[in-house]
Amino acid sequence: MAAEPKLSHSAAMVLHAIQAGDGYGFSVMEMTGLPSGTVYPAMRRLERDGLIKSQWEKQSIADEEQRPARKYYRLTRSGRAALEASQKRYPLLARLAVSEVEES
Amino acid sequence: MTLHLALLWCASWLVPRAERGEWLAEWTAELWFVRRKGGAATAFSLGAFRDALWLRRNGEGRAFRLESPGQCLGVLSVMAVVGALLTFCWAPSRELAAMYRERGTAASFAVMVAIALVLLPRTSSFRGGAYPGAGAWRRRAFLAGKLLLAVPAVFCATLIVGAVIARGLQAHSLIVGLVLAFRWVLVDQRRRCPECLRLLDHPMRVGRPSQTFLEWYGTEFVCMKGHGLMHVPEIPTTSFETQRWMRLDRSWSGLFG
Repeated sequence: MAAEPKLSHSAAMVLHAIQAGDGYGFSVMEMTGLPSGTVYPAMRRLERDGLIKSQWEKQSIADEEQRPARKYYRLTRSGRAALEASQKRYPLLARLAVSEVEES
Repeated sequence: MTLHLALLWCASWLVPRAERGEWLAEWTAELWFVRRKGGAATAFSLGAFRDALWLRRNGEGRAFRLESPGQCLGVLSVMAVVGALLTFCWAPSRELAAMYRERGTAASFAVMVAIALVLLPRTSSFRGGAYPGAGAWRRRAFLAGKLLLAVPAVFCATLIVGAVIARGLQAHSLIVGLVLAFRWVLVDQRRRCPECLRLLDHPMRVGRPSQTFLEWYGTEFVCMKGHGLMHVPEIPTTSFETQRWMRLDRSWSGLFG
């Protein structure tokens, strides 16, 4: 059986924000309050470790809305398991999404 | 081209070529949304350099890491042995070594080491860190082992440099080589788990420079074996002078495996 993924507190925040938010880099920045220089390398690490997967949206959708296509990230099965484990360890993570909903 | 796009374009040159196009497309698209929402586009664009550097360091061509203490000491041993073999099998460097031996240059060598030690604090801190609950003897033995292997490797390398280029260069290259070797030994020591001595991974930036007075600002590393977390302050403060080790007990095993 593969070893459980190792997550620091900040990585867990990013993982949680990807699941709870819209799944692109800027939304993760807005939810976590972390700067771009932290969020994007964290997402690269999470993707390298197989916890998230990225996918470009269809160009036709972006063209329709007259904006550039963006890259979306979503959790993999092991990412969801890692998030579940880290939510037990960091109970305040869940409040990240709640406060975001209250603000919007 | 705007300033922000120019920053992204500059940063893209740090990204490995195979990933550059997609990387730039992602950052350019995100910048469009940042501007649209009235976000801090300059701060956002500057973050691209950190991301690009991460990809450069961790991409396909990731630098060879001496992960375990055994690997580290093994590679250093090989370097020392290969250096010694080359020095004593190759006539020019053997002659140079013999000349130094005849002159009785042990005292000169000690002076070179002393000069390197004087210069060392200018390149790296001597502070090891605070490691509560972690055994010190293994760390010290590992540090001593690295030093004992690195010094002869550097000495042999500089003998070869002296024989190849110019004899007079050997003393200078020895000082430079010793400073670099000592620096590497110290930096490597600080980047290892104080319990298993494996290299720490998953660096994560925490905080911002503007928040230094309110909370700590720096980088957090994690031991891949789940022994703990290393907090490295970016700027040493009175409350957080040196890196700190936070040991994780068995209750964390579910997360770390």
